[in-house]
Amino acid sequence: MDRRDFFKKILMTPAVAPLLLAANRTKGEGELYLITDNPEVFLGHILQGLRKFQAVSGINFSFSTAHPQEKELDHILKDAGWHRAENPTQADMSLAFRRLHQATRPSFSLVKSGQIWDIRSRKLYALWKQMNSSGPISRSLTVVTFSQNPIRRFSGESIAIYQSGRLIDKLTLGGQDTRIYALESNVIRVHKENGRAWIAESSCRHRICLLSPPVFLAGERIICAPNQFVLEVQGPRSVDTIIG
Amino acid sequence: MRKRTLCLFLAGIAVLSGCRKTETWHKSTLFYFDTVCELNLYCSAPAFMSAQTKVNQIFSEIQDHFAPNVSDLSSPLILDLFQKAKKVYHSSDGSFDISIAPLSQLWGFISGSYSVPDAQEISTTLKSIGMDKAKVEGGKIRLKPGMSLDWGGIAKGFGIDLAARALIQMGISMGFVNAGGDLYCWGTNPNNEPWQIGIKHPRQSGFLGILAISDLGAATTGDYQRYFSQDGIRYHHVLDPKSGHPARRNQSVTVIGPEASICDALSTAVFVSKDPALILEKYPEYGAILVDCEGKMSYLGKSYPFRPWKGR
Repeated sequence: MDRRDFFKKILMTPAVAPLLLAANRTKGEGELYLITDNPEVFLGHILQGLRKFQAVSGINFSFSTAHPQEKELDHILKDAGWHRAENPTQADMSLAFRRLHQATRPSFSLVKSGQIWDIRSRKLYALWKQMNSSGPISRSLTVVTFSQNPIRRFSGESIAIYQSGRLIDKLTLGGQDTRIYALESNVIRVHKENGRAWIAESSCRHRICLLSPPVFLAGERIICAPNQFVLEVQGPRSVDTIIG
Repeated sequence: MRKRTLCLFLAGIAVLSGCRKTETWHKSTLFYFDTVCELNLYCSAPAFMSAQTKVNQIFSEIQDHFAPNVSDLSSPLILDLFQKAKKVYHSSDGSFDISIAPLSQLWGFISGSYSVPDAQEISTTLKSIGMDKAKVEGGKIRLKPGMSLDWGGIAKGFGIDLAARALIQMGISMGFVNAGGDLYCWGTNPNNEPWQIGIKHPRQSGFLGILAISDLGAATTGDYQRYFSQDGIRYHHVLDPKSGHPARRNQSVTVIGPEASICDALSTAVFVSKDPALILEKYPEYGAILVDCEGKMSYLGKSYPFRPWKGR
């Protein structure tokens, strides 16, 4: 089945169109559309193939709808090293079931940011051909949604140092380094290592900056208020601002 | 004639283009309340200059009026906030109490000279605690001898409410004001979504979770915000007005609701109280996210969109 035919079959199922539209909104996440009455036979192999292209990350899965092969899928995924998430919001991968209006040959397709993601993999292509040529026709669609690990997505790229609102230094978050900032009446020492940064020394009266844990996510800050000193992690952000 | 018409038309376009002020996102960082304050507003550049001036004015006024040991307790601002604080005091059965200043002083949280007081010192100081002992008479707050007020649990939120209200009245339709972890946000964020507010995890790097809110305030009280350790025990600044000791039930409490000042006060009240659900029943438009002393998260009151951080 070519792509146009695939989409024709999929979009004839009204319940699926919103999923595709939603896919367009959720940048960075992907969906696998798997047409077969026996997804448990193929899913493990497909996921293995997709990991190599970093389309799949994490180890937790959940079911967002009831699935006729839930038991079999649960078993096969656990065998492959996945864990069933207690809380669906913790899942890196979520499975849903839809019934197609029209039966069709088994196949699978990957969608990312609302567009077909053309993965060039011999193994996956061979698997697709095998499914499509020999499998019985099916009206079962399993939609697998992947959530990209937010830590990987939103880990900072650099650290900006501000003093009294003015940028005084900027350094990458990678590597290991210590910087000393001599302020009017105080000295602040900033250390970075393993993608995290923290204040290692400060003569301020509150010492809250010294007690703050290392920061690494874009948007996180460590503040030394008496010195008007701010260490901010910069990069693609998951949040607009932080409280607490 | 045609040339003249064309010239007039082009001149008109030029004038109109000059008059239209391009709106875009502007950010700035201010230092008030001994912390960093963040402004992020959608407006024109001239409007942002005016907004900064206004916020500086409001925050300076709040900082001056509600400084520790301020002697003038008769200003309209002080009386207004006193009434708000008293309402939360009664609603929380004394878990939130701005007369706690002598206790904060005893533990060293005002001077920075931290020490663990003995039982006798605490017992003596507790005699001066209790907002009921403060009365408004003749347009002024009258305190009993030995009493003093600590506005730290509500003044910042109050300042944020005043600032946000002024900015909205100026016609700024989208933005947030974040002062040291208390905030008010309105409109939508640059991605045209509700504001995505990360709540700091009380013990680990990263976030506890992310709120998706708009036209709301939020405030967090935590045992990690100001503390000292002695003999391996953490003594933090959120004191129980009844026992005189740091409250131990929670690591952090975040309250979300229509007014940042009430969020500020309720976050302290809920943190301290042994019956937090009873407090929030009296504030049906407010909800709380609690992390208890063992690190377990729970929710009370009104639900607001919140997704726990799953990057662990």
